[in-house]
Amino acid sequence: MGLFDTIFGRRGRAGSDWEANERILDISSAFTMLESHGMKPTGSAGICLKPMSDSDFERVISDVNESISGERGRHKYTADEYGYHWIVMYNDEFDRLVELLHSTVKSLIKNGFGERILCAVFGFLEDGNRIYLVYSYKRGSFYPFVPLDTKRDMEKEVKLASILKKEMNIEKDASCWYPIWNPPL
Amino acid sequence: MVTRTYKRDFGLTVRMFLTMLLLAVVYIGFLAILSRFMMFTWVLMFAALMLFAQLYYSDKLVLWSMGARIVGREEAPELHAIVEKLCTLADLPKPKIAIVDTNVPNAFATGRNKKNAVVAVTTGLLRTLSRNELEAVLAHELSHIKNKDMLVLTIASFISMVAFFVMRYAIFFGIGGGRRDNAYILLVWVASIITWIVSFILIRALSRYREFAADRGSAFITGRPRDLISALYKISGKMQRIPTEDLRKVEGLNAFFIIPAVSGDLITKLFSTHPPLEERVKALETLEKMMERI
Repeated sequence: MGLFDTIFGRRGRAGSDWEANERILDISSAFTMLESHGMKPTGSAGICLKPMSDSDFERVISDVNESISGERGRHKYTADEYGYHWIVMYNDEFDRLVELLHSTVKSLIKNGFGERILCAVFGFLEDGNRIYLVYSYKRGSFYPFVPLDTKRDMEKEVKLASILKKEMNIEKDASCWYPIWNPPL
Repeated sequence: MVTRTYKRDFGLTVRMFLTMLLLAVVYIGFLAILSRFMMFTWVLMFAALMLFAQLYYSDKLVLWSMGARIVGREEAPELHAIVEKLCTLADLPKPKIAIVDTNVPNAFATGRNKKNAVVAVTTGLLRTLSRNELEAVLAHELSHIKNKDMLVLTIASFISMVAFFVMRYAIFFGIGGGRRDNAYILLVWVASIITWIVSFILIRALSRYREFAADRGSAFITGRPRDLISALYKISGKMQRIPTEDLRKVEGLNAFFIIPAVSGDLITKLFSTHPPLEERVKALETLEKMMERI
């Protein structure tokens, strides 16, 4: 991010900011680092979409099916208790998973659903415990979410953030690290 | 295990020495300019008085401004026991112990020398930390006392204080003087501004090096750098800022997206009295690995 971006507040605008959206690809290059710290990807990732009408969501579904038609059967659609919609994708190859998710988001934005994307969530496992990396499209940054029963393991999150910030754009303002409880990954 | 050799970090010592040397150079230059000033002796005497008062009353002043209360053994037996044990290990006379009634977890040490030292902790700290972590934090504060940080930093800020004073009031000395005097006062004024700014940054750097040294001290006293690391994470305040409300729930409010991302990294780095959390943790982890090898 350049000086002018800071002055004009270009970071943190919704949907259409392409430079920010590309930051999600950082997670691919951070993969080796994640693995070296004992974080194994679960092979699943999800896009969380704000509540919308059934007909709109059907359009989203058909858009997505079209854009990743070759990969059919390796993704699912679901809703959660907050009324949000999810597109969950599965792929054991992490790079491919990120690519798939990113191309889906691109096609959603192309079809005018960019404003509806809340975040993307990647699932990891460390010693059997779930760790999530959440990517906020509004802010163009990642943050960790480590649930611990009904609480969150903040110490672990702060530690993870300090390790990962070398490889990816980690959200500096910890007050924006809103959890995503029980993501359907 | 009993013989704890307090190894010095060579790099840290060099950086600390260079900072103090630079500070001395700036101060001597400033004093050289100031010494031709008519009221120089008065300014210096006033400052010396201030320095003396600050050193002599530092403990009471700090305690009073922080709202700290000295507690006896009967009131905080566990705290006293920990400090006694650590003092034996660190070869220090036992300081007074004070408690500040606030939820913010923090600790500090003050006092002009080992005999008049006070260690204070907040009630929030006692609540947040485990016993081992509390030990690590107290050992860090005792290291500040052992390293005479209060004295060093007060003396280091002394001329800076003079510069600040001259910077603010130089204009009053100029009234009624001749043209030559006025030109001279302008010179003094500019010199004091430069001295104040440069010394401010240098003192902050010195303070950060002293924090690293106290972290090291704590690790050597307790033998467990890991406890200080986890305590630092807990005190950092970063964890307090992490929200627990679900993103999907707060998204409706939409308020938090307005906050601009100001990247003032360098400025924060130069002006802060404590090193960033990550750097302290990194230094402690290096130390941990070193200690495991012994």
